[in-house]
Amino acid sequence: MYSKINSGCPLGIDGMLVSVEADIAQGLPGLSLVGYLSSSVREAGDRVRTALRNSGYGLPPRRITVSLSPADVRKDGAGYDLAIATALLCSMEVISPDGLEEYLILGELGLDGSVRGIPGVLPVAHFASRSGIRKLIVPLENEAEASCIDGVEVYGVSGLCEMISFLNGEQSISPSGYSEDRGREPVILHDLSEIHGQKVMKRGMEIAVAGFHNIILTGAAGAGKSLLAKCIPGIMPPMTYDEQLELTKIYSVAGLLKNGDGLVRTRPFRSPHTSVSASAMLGGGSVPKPGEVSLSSHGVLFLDELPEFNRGIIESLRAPLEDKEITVSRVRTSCSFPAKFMLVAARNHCPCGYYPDRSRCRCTERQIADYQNRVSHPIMDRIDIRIEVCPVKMEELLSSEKEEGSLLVRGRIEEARERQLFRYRGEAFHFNSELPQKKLSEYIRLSSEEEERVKQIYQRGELSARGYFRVLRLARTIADVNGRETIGARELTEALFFRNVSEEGGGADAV
Amino acid sequence: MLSDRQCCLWLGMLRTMKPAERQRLLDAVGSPAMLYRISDEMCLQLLHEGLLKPETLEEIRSTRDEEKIRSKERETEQTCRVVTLADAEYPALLREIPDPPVALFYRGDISLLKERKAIGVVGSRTPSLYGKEMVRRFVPVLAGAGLLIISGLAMGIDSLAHAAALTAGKTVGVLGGGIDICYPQRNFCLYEEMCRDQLVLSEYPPGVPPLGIHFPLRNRIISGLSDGILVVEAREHSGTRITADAALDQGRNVYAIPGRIGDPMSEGTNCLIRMGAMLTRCPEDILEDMGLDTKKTTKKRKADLTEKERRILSLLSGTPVFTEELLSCGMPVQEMIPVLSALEEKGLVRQAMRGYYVKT
Repeated sequence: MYSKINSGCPLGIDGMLVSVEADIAQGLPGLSLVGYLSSSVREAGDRVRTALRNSGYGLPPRRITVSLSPADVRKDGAGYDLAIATALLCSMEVISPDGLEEYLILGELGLDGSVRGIPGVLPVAHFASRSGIRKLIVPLENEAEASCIDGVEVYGVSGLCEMISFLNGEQSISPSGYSEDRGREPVILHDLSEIHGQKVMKRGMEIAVAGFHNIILTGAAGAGKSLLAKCIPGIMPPMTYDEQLELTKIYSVAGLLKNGDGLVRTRPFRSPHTSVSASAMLGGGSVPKPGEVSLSSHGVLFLDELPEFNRGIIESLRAPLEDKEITVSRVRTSCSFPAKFMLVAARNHCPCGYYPDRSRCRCTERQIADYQNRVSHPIMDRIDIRIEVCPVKMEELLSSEKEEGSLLVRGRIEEARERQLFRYRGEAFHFNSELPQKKLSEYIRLSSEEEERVKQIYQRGELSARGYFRVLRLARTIADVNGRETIGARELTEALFFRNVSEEGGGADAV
Repeated sequence: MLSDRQCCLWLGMLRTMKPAERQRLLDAVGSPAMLYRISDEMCLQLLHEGLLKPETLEEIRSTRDEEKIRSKERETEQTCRVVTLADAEYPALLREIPDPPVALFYRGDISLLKERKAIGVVGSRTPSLYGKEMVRRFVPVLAGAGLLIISGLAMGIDSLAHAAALTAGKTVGVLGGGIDICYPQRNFCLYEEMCRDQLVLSEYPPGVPPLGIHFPLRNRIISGLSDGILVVEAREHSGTRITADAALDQGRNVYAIPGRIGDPMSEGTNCLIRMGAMLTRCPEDILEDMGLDTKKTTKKRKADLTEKERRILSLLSGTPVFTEELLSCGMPVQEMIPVLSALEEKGLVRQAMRGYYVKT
């Protein structure tokens, strides 16, 4: 008998429908699986057969064919096990086919018939709901994840027998409900009040986080660059539902959702080591998996000691920094992942780290220039806020002046964020830094004097076209942080200051 | 028959004698022409007296060939021009030093050295922001007043001095290797421009590599060509100190820019001042001492400044100050930044390096 079951697989962070068909016919006994399958899917044959037998349902000695379609797309992973088993059981007339087309079934099977969790359930669930399939049977482990989607009934099962009785109406499982709850309070590992002085650096960081702008801190060791970066998770505003959903999908595909986890609710803070490989950073593997640039979406990608990273890897960040997504191409397939991270980079001026303090730095001009050039001009062009930092002086360290805490700063950032959410309501983006160029004139208006000023700077060659638009977005964020609706001369000046327009270039003075 | 000039060229191309040794030999023999024609007995006597080394004798014997010398001369003239002690164009000041080069290989305009006062500018190859700022402050004014700026085309203060001089006047570079070798490589653009429009010269014939031992010898030429030298920034034990000492030996005026006590980059200059070099606070100090007109540069009118701008300006000086320190004026950071930027826009303040501000 012929039967067909809906299943699916993730495609990037989107999903794709895979139909599992089974047919039992006369002929020499055997089980054959077809449909451009990888070896892990081929193994499903043995897994399913054994799981079925151990659940009390041996396969009949007939010619059994299972096909996964579409046949021109490569199938991978163990997520089809449960669907294959269901299709076979349906062909064996153990399960009634009535109503089966309403379900989408996912899961891996253990030899004892238990159902195991798999990565990528959320994207498939989302896709299914958009395609009109409202009922999902998924491993119990992935139930919370799939419940993040509004409008689907999620049935989590832990064993084959459980699923069979459910489908036959002998047992009922209550579907997991959808609940949207606001983000969790971020965990404060380090508080801003731990950093003494450094007001310019803190101001720059506040603006960066408020508008989600990229930022680079340059200066000698001991200035507090790494410490400041670690304070960021404590001051980031909460995520919106769609930000959480997108991030959770990425984590799901990457297999990073811990057992039973639902939505990821805190913004990521990823800090890869300088020895990270290209595929770990950008995404890869023979089956494309998200890299650091995607795993840090809606959060921070912190690259400490930026010049120490492999030069090719630094340059490969150009595209994701601009487009906010990354396309990972492999021999057989390519897909895109979001790469909506906020870059926080830190570096020294020279190999020894102490320039311009000549009492400690003996680097030659050449060494300094070469070190600067490791971060190329196109990369710097995509970084909005450039701050020079200097080691804290003794008086500052010992001063008893109270420093602002993270809570206070986060309050201001959340206010600025509210302004942006309101301004861009109805749009697909939420932060000033995400404002697309074509919508810029709609949302950002300068007075004629300010426009003239920026145009002059652009004409003097001190700003690239990209730089011009970025300064405008930055000025908009500064106005939001200052609590002002209009962008004034002050805001523009501060934006130019942080963008450091007086010397548009990859490094400090080369002379 | 070889001309005096050709004899000088021949002598200048010998590689086995240091300038001091060569001078002693010349003093004993009389002139390069006489050295060329020297008899074997005389040679043995000089050898005996220690004025001639065996390897030099060997070199003299093997290179004393008119044809070879003429063809070497032609070959050299493909790459550069030559001026020797036998020529009238030889720089007058340089002739006066105890051990002048017998031949100078050059590219560019040798007449730059005539009828013009010159100042050598020397300093550390790894200068601090302060040193770099001082070059910017001093050299354009000196060059603009007509002083020829002489330096060594090395990294650091030398290159900065040449570059600054080019904005306002003329400059001469003295190399530590063959005239055809640009060292350091990074300075290629500067070297090329100077070969074309200014003057670059060397004691060493084309093809000779810039060995470390050549540099102190090259420095005596820098001070030898100058009426005085300006030491911008130097560590206590440095090549720059050696140059300054050589200048004093040659009877040149040494001007030094003072620095903060305890700053290793100013140990050398402060020491020189103590030993008698002239403390220089501004380029006008030098111009006055050398007897040149000091045009008073119009000080920017400080009348139209806001109170906040004045407050920030008062925290600045010739020494680069880091941005954070300007917050000691008491303003919150978002107020301070626009005021600082306004001062920059007005030209009263500039960044020595991103994040470090000086008064202009």
